[in-house]
Amino acid sequence: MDNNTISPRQFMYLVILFLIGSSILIVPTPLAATAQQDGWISSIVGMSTGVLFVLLYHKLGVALGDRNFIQGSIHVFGNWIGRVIAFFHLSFIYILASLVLRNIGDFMTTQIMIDTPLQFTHILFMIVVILAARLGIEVVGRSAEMFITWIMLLLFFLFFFLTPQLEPNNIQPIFSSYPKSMIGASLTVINTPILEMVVLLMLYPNVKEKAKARHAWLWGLLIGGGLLSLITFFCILVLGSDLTALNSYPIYELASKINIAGFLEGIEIIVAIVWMLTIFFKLVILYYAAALGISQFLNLDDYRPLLLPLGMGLVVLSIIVYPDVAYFETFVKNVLPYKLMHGFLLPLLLLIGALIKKKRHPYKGTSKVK
Amino acid sequence: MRRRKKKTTNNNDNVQLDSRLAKQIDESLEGNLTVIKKTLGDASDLVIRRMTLNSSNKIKGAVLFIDGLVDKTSVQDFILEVMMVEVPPENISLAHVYDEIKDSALPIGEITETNKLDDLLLRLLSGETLVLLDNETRALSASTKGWKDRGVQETTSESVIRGPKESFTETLRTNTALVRRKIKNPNLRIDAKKIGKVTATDVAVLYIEGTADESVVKELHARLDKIDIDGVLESGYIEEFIEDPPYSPFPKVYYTERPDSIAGGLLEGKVAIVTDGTPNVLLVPALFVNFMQSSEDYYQRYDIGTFIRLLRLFSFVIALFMPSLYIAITTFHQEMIPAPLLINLAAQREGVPFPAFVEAVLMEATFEILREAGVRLPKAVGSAVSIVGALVLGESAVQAGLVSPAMVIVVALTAISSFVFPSYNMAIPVRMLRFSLMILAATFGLYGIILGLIALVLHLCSLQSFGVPYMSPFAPLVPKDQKDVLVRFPHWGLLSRPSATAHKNEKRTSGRNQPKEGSK
Repeated sequence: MDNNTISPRQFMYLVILFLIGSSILIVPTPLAATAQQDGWISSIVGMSTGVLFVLLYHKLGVALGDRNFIQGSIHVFGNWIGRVIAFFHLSFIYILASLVLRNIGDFMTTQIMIDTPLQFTHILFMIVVILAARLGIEVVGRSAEMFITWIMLLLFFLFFFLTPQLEPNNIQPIFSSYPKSMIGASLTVINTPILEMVVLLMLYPNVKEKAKARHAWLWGLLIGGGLLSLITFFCILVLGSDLTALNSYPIYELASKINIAGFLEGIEIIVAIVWMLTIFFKLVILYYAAALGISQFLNLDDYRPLLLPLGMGLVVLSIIVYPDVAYFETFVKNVLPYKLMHGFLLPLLLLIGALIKKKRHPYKGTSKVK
Repeated sequence: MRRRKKKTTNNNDNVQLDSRLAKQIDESLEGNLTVIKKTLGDASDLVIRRMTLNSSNKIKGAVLFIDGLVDKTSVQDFILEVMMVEVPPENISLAHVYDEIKDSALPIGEITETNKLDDLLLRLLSGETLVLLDNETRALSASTKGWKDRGVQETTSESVIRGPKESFTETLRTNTALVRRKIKNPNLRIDAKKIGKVTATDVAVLYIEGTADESVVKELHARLDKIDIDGVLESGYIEEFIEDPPYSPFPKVYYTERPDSIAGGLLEGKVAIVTDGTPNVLLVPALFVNFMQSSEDYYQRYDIGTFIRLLRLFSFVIALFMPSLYIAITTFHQEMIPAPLLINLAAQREGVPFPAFVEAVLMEATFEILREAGVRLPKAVGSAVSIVGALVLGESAVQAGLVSPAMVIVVALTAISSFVFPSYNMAIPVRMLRFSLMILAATFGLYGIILGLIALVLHLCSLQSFGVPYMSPFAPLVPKDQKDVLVRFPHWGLLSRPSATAHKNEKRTSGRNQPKEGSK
């Protein structure tokens, strides 16, 4: 159907961008709110558990062969039950995409383009996302290679110029918060970027050289998760846990602290650029996965005709998906069971089903179906 | 309906012409001469010299050439003199006269035999001299091409400080010779073609066998063969026919008039297309980075080569984004500007009646007009344009309070930056995209610029030139090719050719020739 391929390196970059996108701004707040000055430790703990999920996803990806999640569930559980599961998974991806789109809209309209209506911010962003999804995952992978250097450079500048502002007292005493709150905080990390990685299974069949794919995914997790933990660490070090917990976008606040020779200040736009680029890739992956999955669900030959109508729907859904930022913050905290179902239970179920099916029909397991 | 009718009559014309010419050569000399004369419409530059050879047998013959396209001395000395004075001896039989002339009489390097009238006419019109005999269905064509051309001169559009100064000319053979002189390798292939139904322009495809990708060569030949057009007057005609996706402002075919750039491209496994009648030679596959590199990067030392390449990249960013960034920051993101500078800017803009966007569009449009006028104007009035541009539009516009001085600086910097690229055709998309980015900046600020940038990079990443990704070796990333993209390693460090175009034969040097410190 779609024989675009991406190299393991490009897949790794997409994993990094997927992890950082949207999490870079919203993860430090709940971490600092729950675990105070130990939020960065919770972040590292949460990211480490991500390894288990990556291994699960990789195992599932291998068991499904050249099928993605949607094709796999239809193949394993048959036309009816499989389609029910596929439908739930697609709704998960689509809703997640609308949340991510709303994130960028909220950020832009509250921090940078205050007079611009939310709708137009979303529409402009969606136009570029649709363009990207139309060009296919191969082009997206290549542009990820182009942008990752810039993102890394901008983040490096951010960290470098913040070093004079570091306040070691802010993270002391280390390991003083309750284990329960530390684990609770690491659950928010598992909740927000880690379990969402299940969507990457939709791209997994397109990765060349399957042997290196697991490696690429783990490295992507290490770099992306490491950067997120580093950002949380810097937020707490510079702002302190209280300010971090109070702020909706602590890293944006963080960047506004930069002051070089009393002249170069107010360069928090760097963060905005990094965030726009990373969230763009996250949204493209989600949107591409949704469009591709829906086209496979409906047995269509091509996902491209779906892009425009789905995009219109997404803009509307992103406006009505939650009423305001305060609602969103509560929502993110309580959404864990839903994410666990889609990011853990369904993949596990599918993996077990796929393994049983393989055992029963060992020769049909990896034959290519449309 | 009307158009269709016209088209069919045109087709009929062509068919008639073809049927008249596809004929074989007649036995009667006069018959042949009449047909040729009639076909050319009694052209005034057609010279027909009738003669009687071999006085005893009274064989009639004729020599034909087009005045102005042939080298008259060689026609005189090596054809007319030989045929009329020396050839052939008395005792030879009538049947052997033709063979005698062909095999041992004419002292000319390139002689072709043909019996088709259309082929004969094409050769005549390309500057060859025809020899026809009575009672003979074959004819000889001697290559006596020679016309006034410009000669190899110094390049005007791509000048360098260090490096060869010669440039291609309008004559195909001279151009292929210039390349051949640089690459004395038996594997250099020069394939000839004729393109254009009316002009029958000579086109040569050059590549190094064993280094160039055969699939690219094959694909290029296929695309060239598919071209159906009446005339090819410049390589630009061919460029538009062989480009990959036709709808993109970015150039996907490289052109240059420097033989050394072409030779360098051939060494990297690319394929050159030389068109008769133009000094601009095409080179495919062309990647984005090729347009940012000059052959001088390789002649100057590697450190300055690297510095200049980085400078070009920087100018590319300025030329593309500077005006839109200025608009976005002064209109939406004043908090990004340090306070003293902001006060300064605000004071400058105080009397200006337009918003920054209108101001910028006015100035940019003025500059584009000035630039176009500068290119077309005769040299004598060129200085008038610069005075008008510098004084009237810059100085006076500021004094009249129509634009702010800062905007003049921004526009000037943008303009200068767009002249930094070694390739003129990479400046074209930059000039055009600048305006769309300015519109995005005026409506959505930095948000719009970043989204425009993302769309731009997506577009660039989706392009291909003859199957090679346009942004290679950045995307897809090829780590070992980075030595010769943004930076240039010393020549002893450039171990391999770029794998995007020369993956068949990558090894450039053995890699053990780095000069040792203190060695004697």
